[in-house]
Amino acid sequence: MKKLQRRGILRGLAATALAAPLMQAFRMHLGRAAAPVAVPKVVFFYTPCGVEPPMWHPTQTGKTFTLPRLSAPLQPFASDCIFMDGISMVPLNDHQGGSQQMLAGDEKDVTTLDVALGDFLKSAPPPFKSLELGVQSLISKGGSVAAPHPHFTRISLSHEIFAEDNPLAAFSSVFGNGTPAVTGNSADAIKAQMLLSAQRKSVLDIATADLNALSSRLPNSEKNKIASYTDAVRQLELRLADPASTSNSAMCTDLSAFNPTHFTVPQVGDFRQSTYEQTAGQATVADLQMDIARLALACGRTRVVTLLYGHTNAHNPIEGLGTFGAHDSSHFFAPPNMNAGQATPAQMDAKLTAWRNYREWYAQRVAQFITAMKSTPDPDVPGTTLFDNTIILHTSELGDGAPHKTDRIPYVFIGGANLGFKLGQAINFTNAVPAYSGGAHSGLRYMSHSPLLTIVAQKMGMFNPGDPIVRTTPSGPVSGPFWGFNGPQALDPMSLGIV
Amino acid sequence: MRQLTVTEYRSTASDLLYLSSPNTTDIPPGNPVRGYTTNAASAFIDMSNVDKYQSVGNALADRAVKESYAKLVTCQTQDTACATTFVQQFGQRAFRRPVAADEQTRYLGLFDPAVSGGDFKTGVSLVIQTMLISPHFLMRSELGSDVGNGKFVLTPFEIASGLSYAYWGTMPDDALFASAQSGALSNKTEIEAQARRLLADPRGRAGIATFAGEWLEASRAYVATKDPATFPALKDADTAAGIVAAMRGEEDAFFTGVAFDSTKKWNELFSADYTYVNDTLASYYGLPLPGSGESFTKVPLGAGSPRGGLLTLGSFLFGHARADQSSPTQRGHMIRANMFCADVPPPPPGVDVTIKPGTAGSTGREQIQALTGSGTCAGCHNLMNPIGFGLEGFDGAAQWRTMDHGEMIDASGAINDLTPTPITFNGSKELSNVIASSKDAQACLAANFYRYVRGFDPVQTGSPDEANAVQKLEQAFVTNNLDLPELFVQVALQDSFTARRSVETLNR
Repeated sequence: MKKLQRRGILRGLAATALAAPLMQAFRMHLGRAAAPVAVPKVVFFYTPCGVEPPMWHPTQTGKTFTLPRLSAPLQPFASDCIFMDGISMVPLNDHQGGSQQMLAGDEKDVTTLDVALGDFLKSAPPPFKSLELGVQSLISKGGSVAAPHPHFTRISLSHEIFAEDNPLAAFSSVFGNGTPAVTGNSADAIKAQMLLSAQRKSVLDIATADLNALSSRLPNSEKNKIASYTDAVRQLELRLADPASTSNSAMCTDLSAFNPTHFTVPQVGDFRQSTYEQTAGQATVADLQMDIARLALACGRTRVVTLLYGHTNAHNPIEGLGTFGAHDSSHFFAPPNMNAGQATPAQMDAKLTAWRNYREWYAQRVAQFITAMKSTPDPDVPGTTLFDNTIILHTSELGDGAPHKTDRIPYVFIGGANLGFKLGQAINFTNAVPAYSGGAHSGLRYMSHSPLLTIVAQKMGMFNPGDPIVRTTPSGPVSGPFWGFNGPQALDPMSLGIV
Repeated sequence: MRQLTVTEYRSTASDLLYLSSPNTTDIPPGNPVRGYTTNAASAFIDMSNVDKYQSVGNALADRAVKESYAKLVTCQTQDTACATTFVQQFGQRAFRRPVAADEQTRYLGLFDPAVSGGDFKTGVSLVIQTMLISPHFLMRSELGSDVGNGKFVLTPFEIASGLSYAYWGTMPDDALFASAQSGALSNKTEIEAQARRLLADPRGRAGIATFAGEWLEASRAYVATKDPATFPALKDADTAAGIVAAMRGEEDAFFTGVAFDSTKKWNELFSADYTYVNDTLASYYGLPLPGSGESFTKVPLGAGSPRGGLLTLGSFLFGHARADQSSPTQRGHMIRANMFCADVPPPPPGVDVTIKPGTAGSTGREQIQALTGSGTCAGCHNLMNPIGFGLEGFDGAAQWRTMDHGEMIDASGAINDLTPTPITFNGSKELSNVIASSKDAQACLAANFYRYVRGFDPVQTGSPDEANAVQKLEQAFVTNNLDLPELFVQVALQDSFTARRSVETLNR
C-alpha cells in the first residue's frame, strides 16, 4: 500500500488564509476550543443470519453472567457489553423483514438510521456523513424480485446504499481522496497545494453546474436521482476543500501500517471473481474493513459506520471452519444424528458444526474490534479511547436463524461508557416489557428493536429526550416516540435500564 | 436518464480515451434487478460511489494524457482556439452529443491559468477529469425533444447512443456519430442499417453475450459454494474457479455461436448436439481434450449425450444448485421466470423452513418432494420443482449422473399451470424440446431482450405503448422464423425505441 503522508499538507494548509477558518471551525466542532467533550460515534456491527439463541444468550441476567459458546469470545469484555435477549423485529419475521427493518424500524420505506444520522450531522459535518463497509456483503445479498431482501442502508426502498466490499477502494476513498497529496511546507509546496485545491474545486463546480442544468430539464422522479448525485458531489467537494478535517495525530498522518499483508485487488471481468469476494480473502478483508472503520472514527473522517459481515444469503464458508456457506449452514443446524431433511446426517452435522464455528468466528471478530477500539486514543478527548465514546451495536437480521425468525436477535450494546451506557449487564426483555406479541413470534412478548435504534438516535444527539423522533420517508416526514415501531403501549426507551 | 453500467463504463472509458484495459476496479458494481445490470431505476450515483468515480476518472485522465494525447488533442497550438477545439471534439465524444455553448464556456474555464497553472496539458487533463464525473458522461440521455401532447422523440444523438449501448455496451463510433450529425438517424431505414452494422461487428457478439449472461443468470455460478466432500473435484479453490470461468466461457461461446455462426435460430439454442469447451472444461465434462488450451472450441457431444443446448450449460446447472446437491427448485424457478416469463410468488413471510426430522426418501428428488410437494408449500413449489426434475440427471456441480444416493435418477417432470393441462416430459432433452416449441418461451426471449435493451420491465410500467411494443417484437420474432439476429435488430425498429412519453418517464 502506498504510504500516505498527510502531515505536510495539514501543516501547509494551516499556514494559509484559506484553511485557517476551516481548521478553526473544525476544532470548534470537535470541542477543542472548549473543555473536551465526548463526540459520540456509532458502529452498527452486523453479522448474518441470526444465531441459535440458547447458545448465544446468557441464561442469567444482571451483572454476572456466563456467555454460552457462540458469544463466549466476548466473555473477556462482559463488563463492556449489554447483552439483550427478548428482542425481535416487527411486523415481518424473516430474512426479508429483518433486512427491511434492521436499521429502519418497522417503517421499511424510511431513510435508515445510519444515513439519517449522517444527514443530521450535516450541520457540523465530518467528511463522510456515514461509512458503509462490507465483508463480502455484495455477493451475499439474498432475496428475489418477488421477495427482495433490501440492503440494510437505504435512502428509501427504491434507493439502496451498497456497502463498499473492496477494502482498498474504501481506504483510498476515506483517506486518499484519490489524488496524490503534495508534501512539504515550503512556499512552493503550499502553492502547489493551493493550485490542486483550486483544480479540485473547479472540477466539482463544473460537474455541479452540469447537474443543475440537467436537473432543471427533468421530471420530478428523475430529479430525485440527480439530487442524490448532486449531494454526493457536494459532499465530495467539502471533503476535498477541507483536508484539515482529518485529525493531526500520528496514526492519522502516517497510515503506512494499513494492509500489513499487502492484500491486492487485481482487475477481473466480473466483480464476483475479485479477491475481496473470495472465501480465501474473507478474514483479511474483515481485518482491513475493521481497521478502516477504527481509523475513520479516530481520524474524524466519519462518526457513523455500518459494518456488514455478509448479508442475508452469505454464500461463502469461512476458511478452515467449514465448507458450507454461512447462510446455507445457518438453516441446517439440528441435533447431531437427526436423520432429516435434504441432507444426509453426516452433512447435517457438517453444517451444524460449520455454523457454530462461523458464529464463534464472528464473535471473535467483534472481540478483535473491541480490542482495537480500546487501544485507540480518542483524539477529541485526551485520556479516553475511541471505545469510550463509540456506541457499538451488534445486530443481525434474524434472531433464531434456523427457522428464519427475528425472535431473540443477538443484540449487544458495546462500549460508549462516556455516553451513559450501563455496561456490564445482561437484560432479558421477554415478557418483561409492554411490547409486541403475536402468533408469528411464538406467542411470547418480545420487545421491538425500535427502542434500541431510538436510544442510538438520542445518544448521537439527533433528538432531545422527549422530543418526537422524526423519520424521512418518500412521502414526507413521520414522527413518533420511537425510531420505528410505536408499540401497543407506551415505553420509554431511556428507562429500559440500558442508559 | 440511463446510468452506464460498470461494464459499459469500462468499455466507454477505453473507447473514449483510447486506452487498453482501463483500470476500473474501484467502481462498485451496480444493483442488478433480475440479473439485469442495465436496469435504470436501481442505478444511482450517490455517497457510496461518487468518490470512486472521481478517483478512477482522475487516474484514467492521467493515463490518457500520457498515452493518448495526440489522439485526443488534434491541434498543436496550445492556445484558446486549440482548447476550444478540444472541448468541442472530446466533449462531443464524452457527452455523446455536441457540447452546448454554455457548457463549452464552463469547460474552457479549466484552461484558465489560475486553475491549470498555465499548463495546457493540465487543462486537458482537468477537462477529461470533469467530464468523466459529469452526468452527461455517466448517464445517457433519453429525454428527447418535446413533440407535444406529452410525447418526446429521441434526438439522433440519443438514438446513436441507444444503438451503441444496446449492441456494443459502449459509446457510438465515428460512423454512428456521423449518422447522428447528419440527422439520418431520425430515419428508421438508417436505424436498421446501423443496427445491422453494429451486430455484425465483433463488439456486437460481446454485447449479445452480455445479454445472454444476464438473462441466464450466469454470474450465479461465481458465488455458488460447493461442498468439497460431495464434489472432490472442486476441492481446490483455484481449480474450482478455473472450471467456473470455463463454464462462463462455454456459455458466451455457445450463445454467440448459435446466434452468429450457426443456424442463428432459436431452436438450436435447445437442440444443439455440440458445445464449446476449453481443455479445462473438456476434462471436467469427461470429453476428449480439444488441445486448445484456454480457448474455446466447438466440439460434438455425440449421439446419446445428455448434454446439448442452454439447459445443460455448466454455468446454469452449477449456479442453480445447492452446495451438496442439485436444486430442482432453483432450476425450475429460473426456467419458469426467465424462459417462460411466468413469475412465482415469494414464500410467505415468516415461513418456517426448518428441516423437520424424519423427512422421507433418499434421493434429492424424493426428499424435496416430501418437504414441499404437499401442504402449503406445494402451491408454489409445484410450479418450479417438476420443471427442475427434468434436469436431475445433472448434479449440483453440473456433472452428468445416472444415480442419486444409490437409486436410479428419475428425470420425469411437468410444467404446470401454463397450459390447460400440464406438459409432461422426461429428461433434459425432452424439456429442451418443450421449451423450444413453446410460443410462450419464444415470446419470453423477446420480452427479455427488450427489457435488457430498454433498462426496465415493460410489464411493470403498465404502459400500453410498452406492452404493444413488446407484443410486436414477439410477433416479429415468430414471423422472422425465430431468427435471433433479426430479433436483436427488430428491437431498435419498434416505435418505442425512439419515442417517449412523459408519463412513461415518470413511471420508469
